[in-house]
Amino acid sequence: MKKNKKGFLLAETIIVSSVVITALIVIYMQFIKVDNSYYKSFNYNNVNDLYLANQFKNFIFDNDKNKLFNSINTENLYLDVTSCDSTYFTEYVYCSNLINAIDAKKIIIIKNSITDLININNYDLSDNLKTFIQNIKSNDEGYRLIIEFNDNKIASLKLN
Amino acid sequence: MNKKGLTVVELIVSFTITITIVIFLIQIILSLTKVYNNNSLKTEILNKQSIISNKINTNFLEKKPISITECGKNCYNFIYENGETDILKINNNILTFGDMTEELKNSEIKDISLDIIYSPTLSSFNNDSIFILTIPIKSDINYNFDIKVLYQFNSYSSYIDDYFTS
Repeated sequence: MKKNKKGFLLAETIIVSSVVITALIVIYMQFIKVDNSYYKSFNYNNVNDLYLANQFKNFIFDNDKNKLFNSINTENLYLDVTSCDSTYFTEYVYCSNLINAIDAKKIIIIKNSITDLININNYDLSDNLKTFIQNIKSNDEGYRLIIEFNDNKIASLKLN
Repeated sequence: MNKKGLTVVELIVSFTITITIVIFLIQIILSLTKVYNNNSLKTEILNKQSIISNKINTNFLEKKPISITECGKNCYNFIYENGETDILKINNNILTFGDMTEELKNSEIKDISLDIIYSPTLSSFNNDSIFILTIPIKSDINYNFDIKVLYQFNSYSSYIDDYFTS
């Protein structure tokens, strides 16, 4: 029987290597996906952060919430309340203290319907917050409170 | 019969490519192992954090504390509107609150800190005080596991501020 004693050609090696590298890239992409979902589960809507957000929600409901909601319309799709503007909050000093207490970096109120937020990239928000908003899967009516904390974690509650 | 085998150049190129792939593969495996270990630990501590935070927040929101007394180092007694009490205590990395006991492994519970923020309000019916309970939890992972519980109240109908003034 004749034996084929020909070894690998460079071309063959390169083809095999390309296939292996492609497979590794696919595995790595999957790993990135898993890592991202871990990031979301650790940094979005922690129980402790949701309770902190609930404190601010209670404060909004104890005050004139309709004044806040009426400021969100087709022109202003979200309202930044981090500065506790006296236009919206009668107890603005208390509001500032509450924001310091919950260690919030940014507090916004948006319309719950995600369809209104298509142009989110144009807003003056951190990339972290934009990514979070883009991940909200809700088309319910009403409003939503979103708080970005100083440790970059984010919590969100419906304001219905 | 074709007796041609690998040339030296082909051999070197093949080895280089193979070694690069192996190094890349090892790096992926190492990162995966690190991520897996870190995330398992994070999940474990976060679960404990959630259980503790949920219990304290629920009791505070439902029963409404009106007074706090100290019962030793890292031991506080919360007295509620209905007369019930809950003791919050940390001893040997074991946290006790009311009927709940949680031991934290792979992390360390530091000293409890209590704080209060008072701001005069325009209406005497509004909440004017914020009580802040912080339970720092430290671990080797770079992540904030601290438990922070807030309770808003009206100082006219509570004795919580007495703890801080006495």
